[in-house]
This record gives sequence, C-alpha cells and structure tokens, in this order.
Amino acid sequence: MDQVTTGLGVAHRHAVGTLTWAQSNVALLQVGLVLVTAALVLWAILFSNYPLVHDTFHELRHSLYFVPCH
Amino acid sequence: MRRFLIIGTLLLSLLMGSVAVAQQGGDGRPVRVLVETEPPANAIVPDETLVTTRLRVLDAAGNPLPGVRAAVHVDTPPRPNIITTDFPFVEDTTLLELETTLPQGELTFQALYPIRGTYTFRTRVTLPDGQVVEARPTLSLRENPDEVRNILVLVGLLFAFGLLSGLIIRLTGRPGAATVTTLVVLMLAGRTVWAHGPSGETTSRQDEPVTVVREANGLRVTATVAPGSGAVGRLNTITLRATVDNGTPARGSVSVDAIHLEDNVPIYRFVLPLEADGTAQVAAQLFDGTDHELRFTLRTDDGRTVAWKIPVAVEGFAPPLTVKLRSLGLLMIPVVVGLAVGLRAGHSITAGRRQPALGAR
Repeated sequence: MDQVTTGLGVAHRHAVGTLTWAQSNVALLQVGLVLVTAALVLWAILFSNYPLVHDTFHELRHSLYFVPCH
Repeated sequence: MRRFLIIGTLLLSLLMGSVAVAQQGGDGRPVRVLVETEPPANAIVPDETLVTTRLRVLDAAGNPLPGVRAAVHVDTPPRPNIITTDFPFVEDTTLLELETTLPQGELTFQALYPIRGTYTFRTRVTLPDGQVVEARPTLSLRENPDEVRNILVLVGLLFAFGLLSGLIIRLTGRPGAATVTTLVVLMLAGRTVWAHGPSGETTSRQDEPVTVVREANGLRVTATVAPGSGAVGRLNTITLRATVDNGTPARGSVSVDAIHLEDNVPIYRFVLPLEADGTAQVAAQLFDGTDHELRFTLRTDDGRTVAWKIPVAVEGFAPPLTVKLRSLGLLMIPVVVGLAVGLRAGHSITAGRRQPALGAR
C-alpha cells in the first residue's frame, strides 16, 4: 500500500516539474490548432475575396485601422 | 528650442487647416499657392467628411491674383511600408486633375478624401503675364478615430482569446475547447462591429468612353466620361462642351457632382467655369468599388440651365496578397502573445494546485 502511494507521488512530481513527452506533443498540437483556427477565421472574415463574405463584412473591414478592403 | 519651434509650426499648420508653399514668380515676385480646407485638417475624417478645399494663388501682399490659370494634380498619400490603409489601391495614385482659369485667384471644390496620410497638390500656375509658378502644397489627414478605437478593441479581443485558449490548454487539456472558444469569440467580435449590410459592389467594366448629348433651353451639351466605367486607383476624365442655338460656345459654368449611390452621398463637387470654347474638363478617381452617378448642371451667363446625369459603375479590386498577409500577421501578434501569457499563467496555476499536495506528502 505504501509502495503504491509512493509511486503516485513520484508520478505527480514528474507532472509538475516538466511535461511528459506525450503531454508536450498534445499541448503543441493544441497551440498549433488554436493559431491555425484563429488565422483561418480572421482570413475568412477580414481578407477573403468571396463576394458573399466580402459583402457581408465590407463595413467591418473598412472600420478597422489596417485591414485592407479594396 | 529648435524642436519646440518645429512642433509649434506643425501644430499651427494643423490648426489653420492649410499648408502654404511659397514660390518665386518668373519676375522675382513671391507668389504663394495656399490650400485651405473647411473643416480644418485635424477635423477631417477620411472617407467620411466632404471637405471644402480652396486653392488660393496669392501675391506678396497676400492678395488673390486674379486671372491666373491653374493646373492642379492631387496625389494621394504614398504607400505605407507596413500598416496599410483600407484602400490600398488608392495609395500613391492621382485623386484629381483639373485645369481651369481662376478669375478671382481661387479654386474651390469639395472632395471626400478616402485615406489617411499626406495629399500633395501639384500645382502649376500661369500668371496673367505668362510667367509660370509651380508649387506642391500638402494636406495631411489623420485616421478616423473610430477605426483606431475599433482596431484596439479587436486587438484586445484577440489577446483575450489567446489568453483564454492558453489557460484552457493548460488547465483542461481539451483541444476542442480552445477551438470552440476561437470561433465563439471571433464571431461575436464580428457581430459587434459589423455595422452595415452588403455593399452591392459591381464588377461591370466599360473601357470605351460614354457620351451623352443633352439639348434644352436652346443649349446643346455634349458630355463624355472616359473610360465609361471606373476602377479604384484610376482616373475618369469628364469632358463637356456646351453651345448655344447658333453653335457658338456657351458662356457660364457647370457644376459636377459625383454621387456614391450606395448611400447617396457626394464624393466630389466641382463648379467649373466654361472655357472660351465652351468646354470644361476634370478628371477624378471614383475610389470605391460600387455604382456612382455624375450629376451635371450647366448655367449660362444669360440664365439658361440644363441638367443631366451619367451613371458610372466602378470596379473594386481585392488587395494584394502581400498586403493581406502583412495585416493578418499583425493581427496574429496579440493572439500569440495572449496564448503565451495564458500558457504561462495556466502553468503557474497548475503548479500552485499541486505543490501543497506534494509538500503534505
């Protein structure tokens, strides 16, 4: 019983100090996902050439300091 | 001291809403070409304020020089290196070109200046004695304060989104949560700032000139717009010729209003005196990619009038890819910074939660 508790304690200490290899990869993947999603959404709303999207967000584009419209 | 003098001079020129350039006439007389605006430059909102612009040719004593002839080219501000305007195709182009006689030494027109920056009025004045004076007065405009506020709000939202995403990644470890947060925050931001509906942009193009002939009240007017459709960044030259019944050139003036049909507001208003041969000409850039209408009213010195309209479709262009990528890169900075802060903060929170448990053991 003591050994099991000790084992868990070691595992916790490892998690707090540094991320495991798997955890690091998952975190990196999530960060990448967030950045790609943000870039895609911003591109679609503010920079896309599709007429429907452009026309919908035309005034928004013109109301932002450095977002080009046409 | 010199710095204060420079700052004082800049402030004074802003307050006066005018910039003067002095030149020597061919005979050594100082001649000044002055650009004045109403409202003053610091109160002009690009793409919103219809500005009354007065170009004055003054002698050494500050009095208008009557009977001069002026050719004016208004150049739009140069292209910014990093931070674009909302009309990148308008940057570094010509906004207006006109040449006319100034009976009172003044040329007045109204214009809606589309972007922030410094406009240059390249002016060539021919004095009554044939001497030529060239001047380049400028007009500097600041960005619409609402646009500055909006971008700051968006940058704040993007930072908050990055921060929240970083925290979620660290604290919950759910990849889907951050994505959903992205979509919700950005769509809400879009809904908040979106003010108007679709622009109704048009893409029809007509390179051939459009000519309209109008006859009324004993006047015959031939008006030509070349090319027949507009394009952002390109000038449309408007030429007209007016004659009376017997074919002699009409005497009088013509007013030209360029109307932005989407919201029915004028973007230019000119009143041009007819030349001795009954002609008048102006070239103007219709800088928004939508339908416009040119409205003319000719008034002769003997009181006859004739009015007509010419529709002009204007083609808009998507901004260059490099400009869009540069702006996207700028918008991603607060996301990246927010994400880094969020991850760091999440790490600290996680460590804070777990440290006591380890200490208790």
